[in-house]
Amino acid sequence: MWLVGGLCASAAEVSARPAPDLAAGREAYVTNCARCHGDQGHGDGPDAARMIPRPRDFTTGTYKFRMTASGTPPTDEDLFHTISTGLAGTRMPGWEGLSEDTRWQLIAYLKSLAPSLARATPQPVASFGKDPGVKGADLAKGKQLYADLGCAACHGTAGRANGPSAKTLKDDWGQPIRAANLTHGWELRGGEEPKDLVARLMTGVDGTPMPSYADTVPAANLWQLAYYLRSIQEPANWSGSLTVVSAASLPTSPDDPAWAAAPRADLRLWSNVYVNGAVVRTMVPWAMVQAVATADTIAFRIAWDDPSEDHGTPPDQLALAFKPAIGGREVGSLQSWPKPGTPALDLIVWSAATGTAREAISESLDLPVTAEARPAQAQYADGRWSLVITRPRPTTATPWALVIWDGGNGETGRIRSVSSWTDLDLNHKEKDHGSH
Amino acid sequence: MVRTNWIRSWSVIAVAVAIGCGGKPTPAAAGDAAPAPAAAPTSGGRTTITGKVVFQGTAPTAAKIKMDADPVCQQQHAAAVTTREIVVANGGLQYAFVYVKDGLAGKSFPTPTTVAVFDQTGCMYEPHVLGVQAGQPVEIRNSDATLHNVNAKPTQSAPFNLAMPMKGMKVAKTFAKPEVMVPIKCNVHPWMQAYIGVVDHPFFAVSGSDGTFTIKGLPAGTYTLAAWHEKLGTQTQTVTVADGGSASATFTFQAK
Repeated sequence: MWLVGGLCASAAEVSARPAPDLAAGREAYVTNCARCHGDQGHGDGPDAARMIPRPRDFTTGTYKFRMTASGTPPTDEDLFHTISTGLAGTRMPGWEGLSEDTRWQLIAYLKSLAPSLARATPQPVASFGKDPGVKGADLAKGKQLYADLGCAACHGTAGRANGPSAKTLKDDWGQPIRAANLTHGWELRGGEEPKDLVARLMTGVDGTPMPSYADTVPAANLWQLAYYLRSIQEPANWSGSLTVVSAASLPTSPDDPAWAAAPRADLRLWSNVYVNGAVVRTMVPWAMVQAVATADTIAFRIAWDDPSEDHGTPPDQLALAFKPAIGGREVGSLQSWPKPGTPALDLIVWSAATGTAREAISESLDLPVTAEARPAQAQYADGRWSLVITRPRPTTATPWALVIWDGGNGETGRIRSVSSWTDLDLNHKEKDHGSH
Repeated sequence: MVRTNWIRSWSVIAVAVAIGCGGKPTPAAAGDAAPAPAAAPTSGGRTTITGKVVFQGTAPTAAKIKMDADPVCQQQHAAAVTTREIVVANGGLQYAFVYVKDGLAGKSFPTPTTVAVFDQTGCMYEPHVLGVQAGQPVEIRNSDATLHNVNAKPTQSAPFNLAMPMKGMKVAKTFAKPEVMVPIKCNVHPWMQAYIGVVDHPFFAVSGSDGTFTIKGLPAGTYTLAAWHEKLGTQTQTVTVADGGSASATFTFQAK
């Protein structure tokens, strides 16, 4: 059981813990952990460079997710929790498949890797305060606290990791580090629930710039802040299929209220470019898409978070790719497209430099001069692009995918974030209304 | 524990921790109290060391700090603020931490209860270099109406990363073990960098704007005196003083 404020109780509940056996822990480590965390725990396993964020270096003894005071080590229960549940938004999976005994032996072994852990004692936070519950949550107060407590300096006014200090953040080892995008609950490493957020606010996230508010802000206020943060998390729908809503007319601007009636499909995007075996970090891990269609035209609204609005060199850009309905060979993964000999795609490319979109069936991202202009309207506010593109309605359920470039991060060409293919469900309203 | 006000001292938290989880005794937070003296506290002597930290060569031009990421910072300065890495006036080097490094073995000194103030004002640390005794209370203040995080990274005492979001906040911290130096930084304002020298005796000083320093109350003896500077390294020299006498010491750092 993992409850805020229940640390003492949970420690008591964990009864049958095996006597530490470093050899057993080492064996389990080599089998399960070393591939990413490295044979000696330095976070440098064969797969480590391909990951963002990188696997933890256990020899530092610094752990982000704890129920202990800032700067003090995690309890064994903290480590047991992390190993068991994994870390959202990272490649660290949950290891509940390992026996509890094995997990405890792993913990004994991990602790033996960090000399600093032998010198310091975990200081559990005395109390995480009382959860007011949803009914006791005052979102307006939470929003005010978000402003008063300076959260926006790094996390941005709307929580989208675009605060004025975000660009200069460094971790304890001097490496650049990004603030968490608080609207992306699914990638909050320590969890997205208010109790998780209160824990992060009170303990800080060691090794990162995130400080502890335990000494300076009453827990009751941190709970109100946490409920507000929960309320700004995107209600993502990872369906793998975009349902197109039929309508008599199309919304043209990104903030047209008509969009509220269109279901959303949320997509994950990632970088697929490696330099010397290390993945190149790109800045757009998520996008949300909606679609509304008349009998002959379809409008897509695409929203994604980007910490800076870039019209310059290179600009922010987006490509909406369709598998063309021309038969023959199909493009497999969009990640490696284009490469010599691969089939053409039907591409709509929008650029913040011109604010316009063009479409063509193309064998590369540089569209031919014959590409057709497509109506496009974009808005940028509080770290988020919102773009509406209109084109002829497809006649078949064409798979589609997104490619997004953050110009502010120098992304251009193959340095980009790409989604996987997603279905287009054109029949939704037609069935309902019997049109056609 | 219900918090009733905004300002909490570390010792209050630590006491609450100690009683919060029953069953087994919880050690006091590292950084909560001074270690028990090994010997009965010794009072100091009557000797004074005065001296100067000299800078030879051409001092680099101090870089101007860009504070435009935070208007609260920028608005507090009519003119540009420069970095305090190498500050030289009339050949004197400011912000060197001068302390007795060796020669006090077997002696112990009472932990002062005097609060050492470490302020954040105008998005700069005041002072830039601070000396304290191990276990001495350090009152960290925020005099700015903006968020500062006080990211302290000692290796001998408990590190901490403390959020101070509001003007007027004060939090008391201590550093339990000697360490020269403990770096302090603010991640929100990456130009903010300070150093706290923690020693287990009262014989230390920070060189002033003219490079001079004074260490008072030393017992008679032969000492290794050290001068630490954040960019120029550490120098030591041996100084012998008779009871009631005085001595002088000059440290000379060359431009790099």
